Amino acid sequence: MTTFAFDPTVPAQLQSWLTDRVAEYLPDVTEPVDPHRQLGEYGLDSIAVVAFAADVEDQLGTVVDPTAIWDYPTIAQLAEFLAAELGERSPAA
Amino acid sequence: MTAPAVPQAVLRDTAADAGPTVAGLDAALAEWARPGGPFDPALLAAHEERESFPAEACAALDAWGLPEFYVPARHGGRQERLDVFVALLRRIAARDLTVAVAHGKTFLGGVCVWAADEDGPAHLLARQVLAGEPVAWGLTEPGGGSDLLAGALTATRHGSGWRLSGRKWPVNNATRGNLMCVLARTEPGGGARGFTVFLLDRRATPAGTVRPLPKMPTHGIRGADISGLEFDDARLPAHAVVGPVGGGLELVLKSLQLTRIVCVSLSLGAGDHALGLLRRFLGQRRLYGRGLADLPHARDVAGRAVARQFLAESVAHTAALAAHHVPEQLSVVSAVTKAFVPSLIAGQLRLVGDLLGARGFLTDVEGYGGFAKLERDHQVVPLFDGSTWVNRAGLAAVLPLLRPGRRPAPVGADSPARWLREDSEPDPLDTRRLRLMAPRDAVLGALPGLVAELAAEEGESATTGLARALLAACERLGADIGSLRPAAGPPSTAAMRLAERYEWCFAGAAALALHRARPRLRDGVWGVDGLWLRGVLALVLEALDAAPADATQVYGELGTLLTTVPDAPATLLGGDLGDLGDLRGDLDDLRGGGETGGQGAPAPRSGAPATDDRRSDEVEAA
Repeated sequence: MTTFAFDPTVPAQLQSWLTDRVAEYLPDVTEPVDPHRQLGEYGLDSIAVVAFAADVEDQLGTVVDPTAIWDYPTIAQLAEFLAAELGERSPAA
Repeated sequence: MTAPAVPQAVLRDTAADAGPTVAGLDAALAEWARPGGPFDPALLAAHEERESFPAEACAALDAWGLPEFYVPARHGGRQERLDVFVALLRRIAARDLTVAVAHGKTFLGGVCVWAADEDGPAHLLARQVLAGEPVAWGLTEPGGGSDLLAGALTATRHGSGWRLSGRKWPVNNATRGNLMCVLARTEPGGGARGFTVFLLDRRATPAGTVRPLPKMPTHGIRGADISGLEFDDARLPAHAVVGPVGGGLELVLKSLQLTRIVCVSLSLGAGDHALGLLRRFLGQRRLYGRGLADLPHARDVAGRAVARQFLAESVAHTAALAAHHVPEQLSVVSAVTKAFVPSLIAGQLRLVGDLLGARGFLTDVEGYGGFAKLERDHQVVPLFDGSTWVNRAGLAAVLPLLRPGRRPAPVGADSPARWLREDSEPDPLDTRRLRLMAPRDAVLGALPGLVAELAAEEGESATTGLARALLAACERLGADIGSLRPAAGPPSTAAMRLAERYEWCFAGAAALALHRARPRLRDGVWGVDGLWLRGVLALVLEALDAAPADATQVYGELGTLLTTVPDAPATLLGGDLGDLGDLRGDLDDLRGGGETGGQGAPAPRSGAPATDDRRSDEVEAA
């Protein structure tokens, strides 16, 4: 299991990590990625969203369906949702 | 549980022991293909010439009971196994691709409703389909290409129901069918949650609000009803909604995972048809004072054509069973299958066309005129349900996650060598387990274990050498994928080429898994000394720039067998009815139940003489 230098159940920490991940998918975007902007606005299209979701799922070790990004389309919303999911799974963490 | 009503057609249809089984369909098709029959090639050629719908053939399939296979068993139909449906549609496609396209679209039309799994729409649709109503699937729109999010046909709320405005085009069977499953924009801004699926019954819409768009002249499948519908404030009731409002894109993408696998049955049938023509030609044609099959070049090309068929079957069959066993991975499996198989068979048709020469080009010459039609008809298959490019691009985007070697090999029940076994009873298709993306692939992941198993059993045989070469090619692919960076936007050419290599590796792994899982495939005409497997692995390795030295010899052997053993079907699985033993048992049960008035009690399955029955029908590789 992957261990992190941050606590993924804390939305702010997860948000910062997700922002870095999104930036990897956007090599042409030079400005900092705004966690409150819709990912689609950055050109993260439906195919890229699928790959991004699978990537995040893989690294967090929890199920992240691409539909989660459809339902929580900004990094901030997604971080809040995933942090709650992860918190429920590991209450002892 | 109440037994489903048995349609009368099933009970009546006893000609040549025909019933709703693959074997029964084979027999019925042979009968129908006689002069004057609904599948008489002259009649079908005339339909093509006039660009008219093959109505007689479709009516025969209706009477035979094919619509029952469009409806899942839990809703009263006979659709239980995807491999069975693939086998059925393949048989029809082998006779006439246009008919298979024209009739088979009801599978596409219904799949969203079954996948949504709501009793209301499902029961309604099941009744209609079992009564022989065709169902169309309206996804694409003028100017939208394959981009579902570009859809502009809009549904707006109106009282308790909805109003639809816009166009769906081009749609298979749009004009002839009363029913259509439509993807409509339900949020003005669109987006992934802005679309909803509706099941539309044209008969229930106010007059003048739904108009057919003219049939399009097409290069192939000329008789098919490729047209569209235009909606002008067409009112739909609230119960026309399929699945959640806003859930349309997800539902369609998951449904496509199933239809993409079913779609390649059209390619398998086209390959069967082409190999039949080729075999006859090789047996008849004389050149330079000897039979054409005596020429090494002809044997080589014929062998390549046969190997392509075997490889296509391996992938299609693996995918159909993956739908039952690893539905979570179907996004990857279906994209690989749809990108790979139609392209593979298009290449096979080119090879066969080269050998047929003028006979493949001229119409109505010595019975070979069917080839030109077949080749034209097949050209639409790579476009259906997401083109080769669309499927390959979807695969390319997730390659970093699928990189060979990144994941531990699947073990136990997850391994295809386990679930491809003949005695492995597939779970019922569970569409709730479908996912939009799974970052793993049990088929390619199984390759290292499969190669080790083969080496342990056979030692360093020729087959083992090829399998090791495949594994090495896969490891090179893994290394090359490792240097690929994830990126938004259209995939690079380099990523698309890697995706194509991934498809070939997957295909090789599927063939090896099938070989390991089915002892019968290691024997018989095609199986001795691993011949068929060596042939398909030679193809795969050629495509991966690692052509084995003896490839020509292997193709030569396959080509020789095609002409010297005319009784052996040029198929690994097409003649395989063993899987259908249970289905036949069910039919016996149903017949018994029907005769005794249909008590609804489950009839004992022991009545089916499974063992002997199966064996006598097995022609697989024998």
